[in-house]
Amino acid sequence: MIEAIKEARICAQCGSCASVCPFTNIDGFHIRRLVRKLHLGLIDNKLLAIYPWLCSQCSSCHDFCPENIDLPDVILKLKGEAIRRGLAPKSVYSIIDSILKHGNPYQQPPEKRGIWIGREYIAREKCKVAYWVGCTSSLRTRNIATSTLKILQASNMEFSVLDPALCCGEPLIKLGVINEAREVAGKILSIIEDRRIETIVTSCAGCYSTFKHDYPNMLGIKLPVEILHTSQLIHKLVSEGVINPPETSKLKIAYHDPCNLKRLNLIDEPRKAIKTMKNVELLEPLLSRDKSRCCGGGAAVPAISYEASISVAYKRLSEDIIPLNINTIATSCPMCYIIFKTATLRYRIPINILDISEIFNVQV
Amino acid sequence: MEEPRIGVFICNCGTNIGAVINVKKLTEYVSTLENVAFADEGRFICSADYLNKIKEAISKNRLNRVVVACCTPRTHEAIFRSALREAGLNPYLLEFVSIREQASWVHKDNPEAAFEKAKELVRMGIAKALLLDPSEEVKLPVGREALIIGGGISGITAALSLASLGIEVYLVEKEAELGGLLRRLIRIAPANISSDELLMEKISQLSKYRNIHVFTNTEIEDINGYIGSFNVKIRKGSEVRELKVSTIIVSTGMEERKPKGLYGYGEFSNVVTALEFEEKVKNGEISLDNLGSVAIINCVGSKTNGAGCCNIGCMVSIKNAEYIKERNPNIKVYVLHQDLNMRGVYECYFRKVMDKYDINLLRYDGRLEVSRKDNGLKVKVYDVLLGDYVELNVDLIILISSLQGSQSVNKLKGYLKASIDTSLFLKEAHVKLKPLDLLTDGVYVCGGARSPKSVDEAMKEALGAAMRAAIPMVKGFVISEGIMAEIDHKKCAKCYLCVKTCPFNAIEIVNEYPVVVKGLCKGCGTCAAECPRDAIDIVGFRKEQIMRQIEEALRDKPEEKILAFCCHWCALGAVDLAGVSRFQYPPNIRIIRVMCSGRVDVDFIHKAFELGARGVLVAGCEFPTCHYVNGNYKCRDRMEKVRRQLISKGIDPDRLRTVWLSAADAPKFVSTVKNMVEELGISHD
Repeated sequence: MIEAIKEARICAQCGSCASVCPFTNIDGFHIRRLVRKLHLGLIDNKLLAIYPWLCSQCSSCHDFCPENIDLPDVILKLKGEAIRRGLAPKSVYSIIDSILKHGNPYQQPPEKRGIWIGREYIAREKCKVAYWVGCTSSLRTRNIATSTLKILQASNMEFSVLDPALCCGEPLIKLGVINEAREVAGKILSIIEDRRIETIVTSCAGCYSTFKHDYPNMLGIKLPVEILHTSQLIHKLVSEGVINPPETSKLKIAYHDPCNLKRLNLIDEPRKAIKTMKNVELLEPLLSRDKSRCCGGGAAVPAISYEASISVAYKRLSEDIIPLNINTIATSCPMCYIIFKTATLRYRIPINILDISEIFNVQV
Repeated sequence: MEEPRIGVFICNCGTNIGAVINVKKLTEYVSTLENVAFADEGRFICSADYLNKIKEAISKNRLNRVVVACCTPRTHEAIFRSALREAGLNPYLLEFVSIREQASWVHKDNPEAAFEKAKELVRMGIAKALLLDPSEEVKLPVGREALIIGGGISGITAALSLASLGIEVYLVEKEAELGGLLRRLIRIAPANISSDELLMEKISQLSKYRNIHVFTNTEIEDINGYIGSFNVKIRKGSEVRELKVSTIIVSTGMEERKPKGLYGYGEFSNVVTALEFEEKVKNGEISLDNLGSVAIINCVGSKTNGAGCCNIGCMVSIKNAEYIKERNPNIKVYVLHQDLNMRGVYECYFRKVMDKYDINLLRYDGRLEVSRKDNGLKVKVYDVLLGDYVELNVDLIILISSLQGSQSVNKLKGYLKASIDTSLFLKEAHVKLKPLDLLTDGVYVCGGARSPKSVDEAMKEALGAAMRAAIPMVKGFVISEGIMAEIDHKKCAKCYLCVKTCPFNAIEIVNEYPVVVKGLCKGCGTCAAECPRDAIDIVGFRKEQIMRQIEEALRDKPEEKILAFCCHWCALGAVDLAGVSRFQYPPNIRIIRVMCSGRVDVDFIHKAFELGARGVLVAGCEFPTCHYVNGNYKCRDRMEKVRRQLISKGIDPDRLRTVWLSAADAPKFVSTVKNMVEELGISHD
C-alpha cells in the first residue's frame, strides 16, 4: 500500500480539481476520488494498474485547488510506483524502453531522424544558436520541423540543427521515471557543453518546458543555455523587422495554449506574433490563456488510451473552439497538433490545424 | 351588598388619547351613567399627582369600585391596584379599560367611531366593576431548605451555589459515590481537563460547607406537598428518613442508550460505547498498546426513532480520536461521522487535533455493516465522498451512542408531577420563559436530566437552577395573585376533569372533592370552562361578570360588531403592539380580556350570537407556547365543539373564528380583524 502521500493529506474533498480535469469520468478516472482513496489507504496494486494513467499532467487541477496541493506530483509518484512494481500498462514500458534504446518514444530506429531535413540544407556544427527539433517533429510532424527551419533560414541567423538520437526525456518525467530521465538529461548536457551552444530554440512545447523547468526543478540539471520557443523567436524577429509577417487571405484563427507553455506563462508572445499579420482575425477559445484546457495528448495518454485522448480533444474543440466559427486553429505544440488533427479528421470538423511556424510560412 | 358607588377616571395620556377622543365630553357622558358616583379626567392619570387625586376622590366620594380608562392593563394595572390599596380599598375592585390601544391609537381617522367605541368600552368596564368582589393575594411562606436529587456535576454545582447563600442543602445520590458520569470519564475536551481532578476539587469544596448534607446510596421514596412545604422521604438501605424542604432541584443526569443489536454491540466484545471505552481504558480492561486500528462510529441510534441529536457526540468522537493518537500514534483511527458538529470553541480544538494527528474522517449516510474478520472486525461502510463502499479492518469499534435521561425519572416524575419526553428528559415549564423550572412550583431541573449536554453546559445550568430555587427562598415567600379558581361543591359532580386539566396540579382531591390549592392556582380559568357542571368560577373573571360585559358590548347595533375574547398574554400583547405601531383597523371590534383563552366558556360564545353579534373572535397564544401550558389547546378543541353546536342551531360556524398569535404578531391580529369585517360583510366607515 502506498503510505499517505503527505501533500494530499490536507485535501478537503471540495472537488474543484475534478471539475476542471479534462479526464473526469473518462474510463472511471476521477482525481478527487483518487485522492480520497489515498486518504483511506486504499491504493493497492489493482488500483495502481488502472489509475492514474489517464492523467495528462496538464496541471489544471493544481491551478484550481484551493489548498494548492501539487496533485500532478501526487499522480507522478503513483505512476512511478506502479512502474517500479511492474503494474503499468504495456504501452508505458514500450515507451520507456524505446526512449532508452532508440532515443525516441516512437520505436523508430535512430536513422529515421534527419529524413525531414532533405539534402539541400548544409549542416553546421559549432554555432551559438541551435535548433532542437525534438522526437515528435523529427519523426512525426515533420511539417513543423521544415517550416521552423525555413523561418530560421529567412532570419539570416547563424544556427545549427540539433537532432541527435536522444529524447529530451519529457515522457519519462511525465511517467514518473525520474532516474532514467536524469540519465538522458546528462547526455544532452554533454552535447550542449561540447558544442558550446548558447541558445536553444525549439518548436516543441514539451521539450521547451522540460529543458526550462523540469531539468532544474525535478532533475537538478541546469542547462547553461538560453532556451527559446519558436513563438518567442518569431515574435522577436517580427518586432525587430528581421522577417515580415506573411500576407494571407482572410484568416480567422483561434490560438490554443498548450499546457506546457501555459504552465510557464508563455502566453502573450504567440498572440503578439499572430496579431502582426494583416487580414488575420485572432479569436480566443472560450476557455483560454491560463484557463486553457488540455488537448488530451500529454503524458503518453494517446498511447495508453487513444480513445480517451480523442474524446478530450473533441471536448476541447466542440465546447471551446468550434462555437467561434473559425477556420484555423493555431498551436505551438506538436502533440496538440497531432491530436487536434486526428480529431478534426475523425469527426469531419472543417477546421485547419496549423503550427505557429506554419502560419508564418504561409507565404514563403 | 352595599350600593355600588363607582369612580371612573379617564386619561388623556397627553395627546395620545386626547387628540382623537374628546375626553371632556366622554367624562361628561360617563358621569350621567347609573351607578357612577364620580367621573373625572386627567392628563396622565398614572402620574403621582393624579394617583393622589384618585385616592382623595375614593375617600371623599366613598367610592367602592374604580374604573380607569387609559392605556393597557399589561403596563399599569399594578400601579392602580396599589393606589386602591393605599386608599383603603381592596385592590381587586379595579377594572381597567383600554381606550388608547383599543380606540384612539387604532382608529385615528375615525374619531366619531373611536368615541363611540370608548363609550362602550367604559360601559363594559362599569358592567364588570359592578360585580367585582374583593380578593387577596395568597402568600405562601418559603423556608431555606432545598433538596437536590442527583449528585453528579450538576447537583454538586447547584449544592455549592445554594449553600453559599446559607441554604440547608440535602444532596441525595443513588450511587455509592458522588460524581455521576464524571467518574467514568478520563478527561473533558477541549481543554482536556482530568475529570477525576475536577470531581475531587468539587467534592473538597462540598466538604467546606456545614449546611450541605450528602446522602449516598440513597433513593427518593416519596414526595408530596408544595413549594415552601415539601415532605420528602428518602431511603438508604433499610433506613427511611423524612425531610422537610422548600424547593427541589432535579439533577438526575443522563445515560447512554445501549445500542443493542447495532453494529455488533453485544455480539463482539471489541465493540464498545464511548463511555465504556473511557471506563475500560481507565481500569485497564482495554489496552491501547497493541491496537492496530480503531473505528469510531458517530450518531449510533441518534437522529432516529424519537431520539434527537445527542449534542456532544461529535466532540466526544474527536476527543477520543485525539486521546488514542496521543497514547499510541501508530494506531490508525477512523471517525465515521454524519455531520461533524464542532460548536463554538470546539472548532479550533478540532483543527488543532486534525493538524497534529493523522485521523481519517469518513462521512457515511447510515449504510454500515460490522462483521468479524479473523481476530478483528471488518467495517463495510458507504463513503459518501468516494461514492462507493470501502472496507476497513479494525481491532476496536467505539460507538458514540444516543443519550437519554436517567431511568430514575420514571418513578420521580410521579412524585413531582413532571412530564418527560420519549427520551426520558424532563420537560421544562416553558422553553423560553421558564427553561429551568418544572411545571410544579418550587421544582427546578438542570443538566443532563433536561437535555444531553457537556460538562460546562451542565454546570452553567446548575447555577441557573440554583438561582431559580434561591429566589423564593431568599424572599421567604411566593405570592399568588388574587385571581384564582373557586369550586362550588354543591354543583360538583366529582368527575375530576378539573384535576386532570390543571397543568399546575393546583387542584387536589380532599375527601373526594376537588379543592383548589390557593398558593398554586394561576387563575387561567381553563378548569372553569371545562367543568361540565359550571361548578367552578374564577375570582376576577367570573362568568357573570363576563356575561354582563358581553351584554353591554352588544347592546347597540350588534350586527355591526365583532366580539373578541383576547388572552392577557399573547393576544392582548398583539393588540397592544398594534396600538403602539398605530396599525389602523375597522372600529367594529369589542375586546373582552380574559387571562387565558382557556377561560372562554361555550356559553360566552352562544350568548354573543344570541344577542346578535355578527362575528366572534377568540384570540390566544400560538401553539405550543400558551402562558398556562394547555389553555389554548383546550380552547381550540372547545371551539370546534361550539362550531358543531352552532351548525345545529342554524348559525354559520364561520362567524366564529380563532386566531393564535405571539405577542409580537400585531400584523396577524390586524389582518384577522380586517378579514373578518370584510368576509362577514360588516359595514364600516
